[in-house]
Amino acid sequence: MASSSVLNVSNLTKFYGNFKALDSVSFSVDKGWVYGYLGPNGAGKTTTIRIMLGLLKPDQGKVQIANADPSIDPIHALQFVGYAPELPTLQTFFTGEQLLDFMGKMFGLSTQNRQEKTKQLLDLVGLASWGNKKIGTYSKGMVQRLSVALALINDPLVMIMDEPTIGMDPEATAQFRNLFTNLSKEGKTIFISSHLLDEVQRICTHVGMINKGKIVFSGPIEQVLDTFTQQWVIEAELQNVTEGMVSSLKRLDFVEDVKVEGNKLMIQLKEKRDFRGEVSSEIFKQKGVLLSLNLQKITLEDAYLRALKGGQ
Amino acid sequence: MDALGRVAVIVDYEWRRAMAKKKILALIILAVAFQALVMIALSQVGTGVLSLYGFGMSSLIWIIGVLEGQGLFVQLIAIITAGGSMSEEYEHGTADILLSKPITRLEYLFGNSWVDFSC
Repeated sequence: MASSSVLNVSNLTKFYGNFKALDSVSFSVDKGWVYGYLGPNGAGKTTTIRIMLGLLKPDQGKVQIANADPSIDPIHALQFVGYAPELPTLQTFFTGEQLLDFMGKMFGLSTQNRQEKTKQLLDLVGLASWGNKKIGTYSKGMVQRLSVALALINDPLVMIMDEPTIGMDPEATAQFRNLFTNLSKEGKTIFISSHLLDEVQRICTHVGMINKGKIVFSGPIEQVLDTFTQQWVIEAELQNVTEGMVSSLKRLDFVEDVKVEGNKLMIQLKEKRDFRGEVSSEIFKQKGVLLSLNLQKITLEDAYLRALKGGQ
Repeated sequence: MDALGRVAVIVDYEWRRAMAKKKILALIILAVAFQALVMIALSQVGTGVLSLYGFGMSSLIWIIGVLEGQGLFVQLIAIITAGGSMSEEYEHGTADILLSKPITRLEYLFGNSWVDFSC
């Protein structure tokens, strides 16, 4: 295990009756990473998270958070972990302030520290004016915001979040995306389980993909895009397309093929490199008028779908 | 924070949770009031009245006193169990949030049952 790894999961296997929910799941997350944990419904994401928090015991394998096993020594393993569950059920009889204060007590924070933190976190998640209202009166999105605040009460080293932005409006989603990025810049390690691939692509540095209880991929996000991309394509929009231009582009040695779609050229490349400069100068030589030029790399969604197919 | 401190936090939490359930509070008050009513009635009427009906009941009147106390105890246990302390927390998922904090299962269990009995 690398010394910088804060969260280490090795060979987790979990059965629910005869159903194998997890099949030797292994990955490790280093300090400062934003790790996106992806997979279809029922792939085993939440089971992994529950085992990571010591809420479930694995049949095989183990979890190490800050060099302690949460199912054996929760006091040490979970002291610096913040957890925001999926669609959290919070204690409706508390107010937001009371619940934050209580969670602070569970981590043994001093009264003064708890008061400061409570105020600061309610501000951070945009619930400053709701702090003294009962959680029972909160909307779904507000409960979700409070849940993220709760995960931050102990100033955690590792934040584990299960679909943290579900139920939030687009503005709040953008706001929390920034928040997570800032937290990782502060050196916190963030583990996000999510279905929102666009979201993951924007904030995560690394991804893990799980399908039917097996890890299909785990590594840097650029690598997943690279691994599951077959080809890069340059999309060139022109004022008018001529036969001569298409054939001269086809003659370029880095071009695999050129397809014409109306006044657009889809130039398929042999290598995964950015050839936009070469393409635009060739078009210029052929006296074409270029309106736009885009390099189409693969999106995480494409990569994800391909990875799942490959894993089956 | 030591184990006792952590249990104390859970005790505090469970106590507040029990108090937040107004139904349980109302049931407890009702049970106590009912028992008190029987006691008051007996004290007002006096055991002398009962002996009028013969059978030398006045010598056995202490049984009512004993059963009354025990009855109240049994009723309270029933109410609190029905109030469902821990099972409800598991069903609603609030237990997950507590158990994902640095606390052992034993400490949680201990804090929970403490409140059940002291209620």
